[in-house]
Amino acid sequence: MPRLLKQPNSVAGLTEQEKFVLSLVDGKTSLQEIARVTGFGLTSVNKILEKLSHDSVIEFAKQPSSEPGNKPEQPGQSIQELVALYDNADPYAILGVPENAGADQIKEAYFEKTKMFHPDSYYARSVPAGDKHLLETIYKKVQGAYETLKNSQPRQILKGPQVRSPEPPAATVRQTPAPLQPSTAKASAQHLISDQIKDRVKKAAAHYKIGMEAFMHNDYANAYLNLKLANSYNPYDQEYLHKMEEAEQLMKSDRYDELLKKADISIELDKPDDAIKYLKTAYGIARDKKLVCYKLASVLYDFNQSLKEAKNYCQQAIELNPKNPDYHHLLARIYQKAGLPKNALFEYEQSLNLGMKTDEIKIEIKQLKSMVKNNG
Amino acid sequence: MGKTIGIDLGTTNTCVAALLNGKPFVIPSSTGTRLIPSYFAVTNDEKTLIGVRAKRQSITNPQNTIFAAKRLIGRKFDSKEVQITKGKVPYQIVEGPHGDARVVCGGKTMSIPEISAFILLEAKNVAQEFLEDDIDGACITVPAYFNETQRQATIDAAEIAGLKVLRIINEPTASALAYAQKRGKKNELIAVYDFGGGTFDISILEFGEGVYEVLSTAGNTYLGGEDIDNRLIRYILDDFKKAHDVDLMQDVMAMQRLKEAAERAKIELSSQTEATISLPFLTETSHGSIHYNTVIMRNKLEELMEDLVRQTIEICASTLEGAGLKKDDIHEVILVGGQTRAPLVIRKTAEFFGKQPNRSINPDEVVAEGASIHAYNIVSPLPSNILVDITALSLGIQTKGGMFAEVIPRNTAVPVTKTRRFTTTYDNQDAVRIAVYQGNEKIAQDNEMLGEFVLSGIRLAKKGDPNIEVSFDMNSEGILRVTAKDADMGTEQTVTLEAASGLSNDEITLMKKKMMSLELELKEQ
Repeated sequence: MPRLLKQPNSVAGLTEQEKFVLSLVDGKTSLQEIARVTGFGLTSVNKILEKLSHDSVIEFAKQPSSEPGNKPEQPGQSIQELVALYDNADPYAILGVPENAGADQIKEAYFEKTKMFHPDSYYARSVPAGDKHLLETIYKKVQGAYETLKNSQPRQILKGPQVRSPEPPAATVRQTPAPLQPSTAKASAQHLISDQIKDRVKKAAAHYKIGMEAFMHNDYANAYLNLKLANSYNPYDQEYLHKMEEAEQLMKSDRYDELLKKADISIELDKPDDAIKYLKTAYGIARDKKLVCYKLASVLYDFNQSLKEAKNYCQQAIELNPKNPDYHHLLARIYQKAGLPKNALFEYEQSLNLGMKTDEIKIEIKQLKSMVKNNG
Repeated sequence: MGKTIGIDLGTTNTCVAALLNGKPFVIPSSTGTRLIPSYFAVTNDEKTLIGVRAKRQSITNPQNTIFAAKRLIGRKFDSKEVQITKGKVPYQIVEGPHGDARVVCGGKTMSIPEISAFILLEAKNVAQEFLEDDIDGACITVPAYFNETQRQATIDAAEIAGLKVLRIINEPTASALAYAQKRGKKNELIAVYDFGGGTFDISILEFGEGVYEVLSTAGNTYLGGEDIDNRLIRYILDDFKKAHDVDLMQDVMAMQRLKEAAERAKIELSSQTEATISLPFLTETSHGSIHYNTVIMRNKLEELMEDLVRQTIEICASTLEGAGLKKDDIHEVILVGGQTRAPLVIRKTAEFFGKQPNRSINPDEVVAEGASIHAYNIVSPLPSNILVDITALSLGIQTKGGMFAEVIPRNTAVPVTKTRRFTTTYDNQDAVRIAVYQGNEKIAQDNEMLGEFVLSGIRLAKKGDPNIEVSFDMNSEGILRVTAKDADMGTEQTVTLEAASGLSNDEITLMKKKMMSLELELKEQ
């Protein structure tokens, strides 16, 4: 078994592959296990370890002699042999527990085996598809064994630290291949990850600085872009998120104001198509849609465009704010133009009731009333 | 290497998330919204709209706006579910060439996976744009109660959208993963109460060191927030009829406005005690326009929805019993799905489980978050947690008298291999028909049929004498292999059943091509 001579993070100039292999070296994990966990294959792991040993980063410790009755996985043991081992075992042997094992012990063993053989645990490793299939058959055996043993016992729930049942006499212990120890491997892999995190935090801070500078100069689009990057590199910093959201809002309202201005100019220039285009874009980004709805409706109405569309936008504005007399007044005119005097009358009355008490409206109402009466 | 994402492909909304620096992050679209409405539409000028753009014009274009496609995916046209949905939606549902349900949109008949593909494509594009990276694969969630056909149809949808599916996982399981991420490592039993737009699910999970095991799951695929909306709509329709003697059901546009207003009022009532519904010019009659204004009190809504909530609690009770657990065994109850914002749901679950439910996670986003964690986890060489998921539906074969005999019972962990012995019904019977079904009903016909084959060359003997071994092998990709064997003669017959989603491979390839050419057009919008 390889053993560390130096702290892995004190060694410079390693490749990603070497770092990964090194992260698994802890004096307990065998070559075969490293090969399986990394998915690099035995030969390349061997090569990497030899190089590391040559650089005096690691040394190869002597393999401890295996205890009687305990059959650890032999070097070079193929997956086929492993499958055969599980194939001929009874449920206790499959899970590697004594026959008097308690429910907690059975569950613990099952969890350990699950971590080794569940298809998700080697999904991304470069294990040949055929081997993956074989490993999956082992998992099915584990699953079946657990189901059998679980149902033969009253159900217990894991609560806090687990109490192991006393060790049984050696003669009754039947064990399957020594389990992998992914948990220790995982712990050492943290070094790698922490380096990456540091790098990302640094990048995030740099983008944040640029973003805030743009923010100061009211260049919200630029600020948003950089703050978004800062936030994606380091989503933990709430400050980045808040500033990004603030910049986004300002950027949108900037754009919204600009679009409304452009629309106004287009109206002045008698270019309703352009105005509608700008307003529709503004509609897409507006948080408060009532004003832009109203504007759209008035352009559509004023320039004799689709009355139906004008009506829909105006109705939407009213649904968002039923108390604005201007909206009702516009809708009234739309209805009038569309030849719906009853609806128009209703809307004129609404705007009158809401405070728009102009003579013009009063006259319109009077005329419409008589018209409706005559028709009715 | 590109990124992996998690997608919650919902009935009403779709949400996409990715893991950034070990933390799930819901990806906002370029307009800043975090949920993509699961809407698809074709406009009068033949423009294709997805998500928010499609939903926005649904009032004015109801016949060509497809929503709630999830209710139809992987279903037969003549199934009960499709017939129910048909009566509820303004668009047209027709029968496809393989007996599947299809919809008519923009004058063309489209398959459901195709509709879902557009929504997945939008989700993929949102993620791609934000992450500024290619998307290598996605974990997509489905309700626990989706059968193999529905799962396969979802995979087909992803395929059409050009998205690689890493895994399909159950929604409640995904929520539990997101919760586990927030809670850190701890051994505990949790219940996930998932009341979404279209379905209700309850799942019990055990979190161990490095392993998350799903113990049991149950639910009702036809019980959701929309049913509560429909109760409220029904109530308003009755109220309207009483006041104006007009049946609004005939007015498609009015119904669409009413539907939206009812949903809005329901949401408002989660935080307020009353909500106003104001719909001017709701409908036109020979006497003129009718305007509808009313105030709905929270009490009224709770009265309308109470029996639906009671149904969910009954399912919780039977699930606990089935798993051999007591209410006190559950350490934490997690509420998921938009409908769990309703105070009545919170009150009833707290009452039943005897503890305040956990509402710390955003019910709309948690499923996508969990899916993103799983996606990231399984592509990493050292997954930090292994998820042991289960089948929520039993798998088995039809036996004497049309009964359903389970081979893999529900709540069994997958992947799995199981064998069960059967025998002959007549003297000297030399062949048996093996019809494979999936579902939880006792009568085989009431379940979903996955396929059938014949085992011949059985030893001639008295009825009940031969031993026929039927094995079911479900692998991690969800592919089922069924083998039938005469144990005495050694004759064997194996079939691999890949659930048919209602689309042939050629159709999928064709749709994929079409989608790629449309993608450019969509990006230009």
